[in-house]
Order: sequence, then structure tokens, then C-alpha cells
Amino acid sequence: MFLIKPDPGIIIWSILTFLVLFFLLKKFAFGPIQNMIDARRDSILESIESAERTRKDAEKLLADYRESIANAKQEAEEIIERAHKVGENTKAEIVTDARQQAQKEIDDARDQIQRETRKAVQEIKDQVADLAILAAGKVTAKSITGEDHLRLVDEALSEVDLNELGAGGS
Amino acid sequence: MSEAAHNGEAATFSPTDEFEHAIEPIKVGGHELSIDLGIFHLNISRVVVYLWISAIIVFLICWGIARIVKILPSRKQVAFEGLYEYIRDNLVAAVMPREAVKAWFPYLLTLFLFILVNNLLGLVPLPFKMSHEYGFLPEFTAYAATSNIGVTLGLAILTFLLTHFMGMKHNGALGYFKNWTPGTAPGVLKPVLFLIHAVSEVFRLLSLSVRLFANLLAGHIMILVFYSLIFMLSTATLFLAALIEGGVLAISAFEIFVALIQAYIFAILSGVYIGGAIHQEH
Repeated sequence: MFLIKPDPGIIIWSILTFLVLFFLLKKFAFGPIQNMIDARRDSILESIESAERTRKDAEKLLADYRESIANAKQEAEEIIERAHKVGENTKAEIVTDARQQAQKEIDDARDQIQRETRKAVQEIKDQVADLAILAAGKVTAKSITGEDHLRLVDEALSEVDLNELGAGGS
Repeated sequence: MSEAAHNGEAATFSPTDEFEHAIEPIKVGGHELSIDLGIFHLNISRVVVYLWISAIIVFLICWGIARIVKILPSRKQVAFEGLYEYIRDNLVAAVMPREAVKAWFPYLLTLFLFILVNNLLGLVPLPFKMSHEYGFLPEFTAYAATSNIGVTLGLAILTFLLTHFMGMKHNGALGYFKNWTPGTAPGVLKPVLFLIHAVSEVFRLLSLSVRLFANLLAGHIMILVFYSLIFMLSTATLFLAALIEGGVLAISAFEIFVALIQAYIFAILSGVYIGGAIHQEH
């Protein structure tokens, strides 16, 4: 029966047609599609690698920045600390200087006062002596010699506490 | 439909006539289109033209897809590629060694698409010859190249040859045939087992081709029989006509399913055979 009797011509035609179709598809369809898929895979891989590289660079950069910031902070703290110390020292120096200066001025003033006091006492002494001599001369009118004058003055002066006068003036 | 149907009252209708005419060379101006190779006649028959039409359709579809696919895919392309990869990595990888899938997937896909389009083309009536009754109108015929045993045998032979070629390439000619008999079998039985295996290989070839051809042929004969009923019962009631029409519709719908499933079976079995030859069980 012809239905189940294969025709050699048709067998050859079907193989030929199929093979031609297969090679055409390989060249014009499967090939380009596969190339496109490969190109996409390469491009994705490349993108991933590049992203990874960028991420690593960014991380390194960030670490560098962090380190720089940490260093700067530390430096700033040191500078502030140093400045503090310098300030403290300066302050102490200034205070000490000021105290010394003040003390010196006080001492100078005290010396001056003592000097002035002594000078004043001496002047008072001299004037009192002159006045006493003058008064005594008028009272005694030549009854007393020069030596008597001096003796009387000394006696009078011993009774007057000049030290108290000096202390009161200081 | 058949020429016999047009030759007066004495003519008997035979749906198989369509299939007989299909392998005759096409006549152009009284001249038969045929290439004479001495032993064979490469007739350019309706079968061959159907094969070419199918091949052109498959090529245009795949070529069109290859032209529109882009590196940056659209949603549709993503879905399509997902399907493509699912078929390759799940359906084909299930029957072939992993390393062979990439090399053989194009072959199996071409087989599937070529057979599928051939099968489906059988459901589309094409104007293939001029009507005898109405000279200026073409007569439509529904024919599938895959309902011809020659076509399915041709494709099966290709798979058969590739199977054994790949088997010998991967295992060495001697090793490949040695593996046809189990190593644990007693020496006396080995020739018998070898013979049984050889016979089974030949029957694989036959079953592969006959399965596809018989399914398609049966489907088309059924459709043609139903169509013929329309002519035979043309004087019957409207109800009967509607019933027949419904029958044609139901069988045509079923034939779409058969077209898909048979194309799939042919392609996947080819994969099984080639995969089995590459990676032999010892």
C-alpha cells in the first residue's frame, strides 16, 4: 500500500530541506541570538566587575578619608591641649610676675615711706631743737651756755617717742 | 476533493487519494518537475513544496525573532528568553548530558519547529491545484508533509545517523558497540544480546518515524472523512450538517494538540537517543 511505502526521493528531500533550514537558522537566527546572549552576559559581567572595582576604590577612599579625619582630629586635640598648657603657663607666669611686681612696689613704697619718715623726723628733730634753743634762750636769757642747750634738747627729745611717730606715719 | 469524486456517478470516494496525489510530481505546462538521479527520482511534489513552505515559515519566524532581540530586553523578550531557557535547561537537559545540551539544542529546536509547522500547516487549506469543475477557481486542499512516511523517515534517519555517529565519536567505535551488551552478561549470551540491541535500534528508527506519520495521517484522514461526509450527505438535514461541521471543528482542535505533542515527542526522543549514545549506560 502506497501510504506506508516510503519514497526515497521524499526521504532525500526531507533530509535536504531540514539540513538547509538547520544551517540557515544556525547562521541567521541561533547564531545571532546566542551572540547577543553572550554579549549581554559579557556586558553584565563587565558591569559587575567594574562596579566591584568602583566599590573597592570608594571603600579605600572612604577609609583614607576616615583616617585623615581621625588624624586631623587628634592633631587638633593636641594643638588645643598644647595651647591650654601654654595658656596655663602664661597665666601662672603673668600672675607670678604681677605678684612679684606688686611686692616689689610695696617694698619700694615701704622703703620710700621709711626714708621719708626718717627724713621728716630728722627735720622735726632739727626744728624742735632750734625752737627749744630759741625758747630756752628767751626764758633763760644767756644763763645757759651752748653746752647746756644741747643737753637740755637731748633730754627733751628722749622724752618724746619718735619711733611711735615714725610708726604712725607708715 | 478527490479526482474520483469528480468522475461521475460510478466514482467511489477515497480520502486516501489526497495522499497519493501528494507524492506525484507537480506538472507545470505538461512538464513534470523532477530531478533524475538515476536510482532515485527527486520529484518536486506537493510534499516537497509543503516542506519548503514550512521551512520558509520557520526560518522567517526565527530570523524575525533574531532581528528584534536586543541586548537590553523588553518585557516580552524576557518572558520569551525565560521560556527558551526553561525548555533548554529543564526539558532538554533532563534527557541529555549537560555538556551536550548546548551543542544539540539548536538541532532539537529546529526539529521541533520544523515538524510543528509542518503539522499545523496541515490544518490550513491551501490552494494547490485548479479546480476541475470551476476552471478559474483554485481547489483548496489540507495536507501535512509529516503525514507522509518518507518525510518522517527522513528526519528519523537523520537522528539515527547522528545518534550512532555521536556514540562512536564519544565512546570510540569499538567501545560504543561493546556497550551495547552489558559487561556482566555471560560471554555466550553476548552475541544474542548484541543482536537484540541492534534490532531495538532499528525499531527505534521505525517507531520514531511511524509514530509521527501515523498520528498525522490518521488525523488528516479523519478530517477528510468528515469533510467528505458534507458532500455525501449534502441533501441531508441541517442538523446533520451542523453535527458534521462540529465534528470537523472538534477534530481540528484535537489535531492542533496532536501537532504540538507529536513535534515535542519527536524532538525530545531524538534528544534521548543522541544523549543516550553520548553518555552510554554500562
